Formats: sequence, structure tokens, C-alpha cells
Amino acid sequence: MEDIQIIELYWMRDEAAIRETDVKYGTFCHRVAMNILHSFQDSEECVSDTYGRCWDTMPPQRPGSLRAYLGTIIRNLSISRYRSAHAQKRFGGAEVLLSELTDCVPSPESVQRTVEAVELGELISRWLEGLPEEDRALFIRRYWNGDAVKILAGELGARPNAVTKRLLRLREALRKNLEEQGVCV
Amino acid sequence: MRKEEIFFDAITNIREDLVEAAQNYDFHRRVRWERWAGLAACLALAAFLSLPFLLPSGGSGRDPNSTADQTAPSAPEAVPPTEAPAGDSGGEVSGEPAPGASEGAALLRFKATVLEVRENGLLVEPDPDAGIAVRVEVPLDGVANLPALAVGDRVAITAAAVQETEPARLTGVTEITPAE
Repeated sequence: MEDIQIIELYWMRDEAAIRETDVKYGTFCHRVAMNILHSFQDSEECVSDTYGRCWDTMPPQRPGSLRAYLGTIIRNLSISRYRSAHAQKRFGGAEVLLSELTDCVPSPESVQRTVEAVELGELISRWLEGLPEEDRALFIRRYWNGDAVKILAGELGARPNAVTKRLLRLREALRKNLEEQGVCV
Repeated sequence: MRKEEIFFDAITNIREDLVEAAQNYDFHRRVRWERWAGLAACLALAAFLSLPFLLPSGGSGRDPNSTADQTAPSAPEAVPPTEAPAGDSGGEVSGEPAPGASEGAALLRFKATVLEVRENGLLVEPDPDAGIAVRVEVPLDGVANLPALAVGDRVAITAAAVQETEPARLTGVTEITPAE
């Protein structure tokens, strides 16, 4: 079923909308949650909460991309769950992604203005637009989807080490770009 | 909140058109193209290097002539042209394995259990007697008359080859039918 038809079901308050969402994007949602939480049960609950949030927000929302909309909701829910449940512990999922993202933090010397997550998201989007398509997809699949380096290497037909290096170069390029704009977080 | 956590949140706010495009991006397409380009380049180079041997009259004729220029009494130079047919027969022999090799590239057929049904493919577990990887990705583009499949279904798969990736991936999938 096309996204537009599923969204229409939400607007008609037809519960088949949730079933169709699960059929089409269930695996995707599970994967995004699992990449952050590394817990099947927590991921399962996040996916259910995501469907509930979709039901509550459509209408009035009518997303252009249902997958991106679901992904944003499930990332937010998974990150919240991760923070509340594992605040003091180190876990493989989000913790690994967070440690890699340290490379993107601009150095304090270049600070001219401090930005919040929403504005930073827009700055990152603009930086991504200037990248070659494959680098852009690689960055998003790693840090938005949270896909493992090994999986991405398999898809690229490259060695995991090569992908790790490529991601490091991308993070450094992002940091440099933000520093040039005098941005700090 | 740590700075990298702000980044993590910021990445959630990446524009949805970029996110959607990244989900649809097919890394394999480029890999496939590069692989064929590499193979084509190797074949072209091999063909170029073997050109002198594939032109028996030209190849064998030139050497004797060049030596003939150096030495006037060139009666023995009649011998190299007689060697040329030997070169010819060598060319035939070297030409034979190629068609033989292509005939040997048989299709791969095996039975498997469906582990995941994805948007553009399947993840399957081949039967142990298939003698290939534990988990294999099966792209569905190009497969006609695909039956409705669910996790746990048994299927028979026909494909051209298996890529040694992690997980392994089939190429040239031509048929998927329910098994048992």
C-alpha cells in the first residue's frame, strides 16, 4: 500500500492504518529502535508507542514521507527510553554512536554562537546536501538509522575498516564545516 | 546533556527528504557497476596484450622479416611461417576454454527458509545441504511471478551466484517458488 493511502486511513480513523504501517515499516522501525536500545523488548514497546503516536498525531499531521516521520518518532522515543533507563551505564547501541559523534563537536576556540538541536539539524542537513550522494546516504544510515558499520560495509562491498575511516573523514568534515560557521553546541 | 547527545538529537532533525533518499539509496547498484567496469577493463587489457598472438600471420610474419633484413641468406626464414600453423593451433586451444568456462557457469539452485521479508528482498537461511552461507540476502528485482511470502516459508531459489559479503548476497536471482 502506498504511503498516501496509509496516511488517508489514519485520517479516516481506520485502525487498519496501524496494521498497514506495521506491514510496510515494521521491520524498519524495529531496526532503528534496536540500533539504539539493543533490547528486543524495549524496541518492541517503542514500536508500539510509535504507532500510538502516529494515531494521535494524524490528523492533523500529513507527513510527506511516512518512513521519515515514523523514524523521527521512534528515534525520539528510543533516545528518551535509553536516557531514562541507562543514564549511568554504557551500552553498545546509542553509546557507540555517541562516542563517534564526539568527533563532530566543534572546538571551543571557534565559538561564536551556540545552537540548539533543531538549528543544528538544519545546519547538518545543509552540510549533507553538499556531499556526494553515497557519502550522504552512508552518514544518514549510520547516524540516523544507527546501522552497524559491518552491515554498511557489506552493502558497499567494502571492508569495515574502510567504512570506519570514511565515516571518520565525514565526521571531521562536519566538524570543520561547523567551525567555519563559528557554531558551537 | 553531553554535546554529542545534542548532535544525536540534531541528527534526528535532519530534513525528511534527505532521510527518505538515504533509505532508498542502493549501495549495491554502484558496487555492481564498478565490478563490471573492473572486469571489462581487465578483459580489454588481456585482449590488447594477446593481440600479437591472435594474429598468427602478422605476428609470425614480422619476426622472420625483421631477421631477414639483418641476414641476407634467409633460407631458414621459410621455417618460421611453417611454425605459424603451430601458433594457430595454439590459438585455437587457448580459445577453447572460454566457451567451456561459460558453459560451466551453471545456475545455483537451493532450498531455504525465509527469515525476513524486506521491501526489496528477502533474508533466507539455506538448507545445510546447499553448502552456502548461513544467511543469505536475496534481492527481488528481476524476479517474475513472485509468490506471497512470510517469515518461516520454505522456498526454492534459482540464482546466478553468491557474493561473499556479510551476510552473503545472491546475484542474478531468476526464480523463487514455494518449496514443500
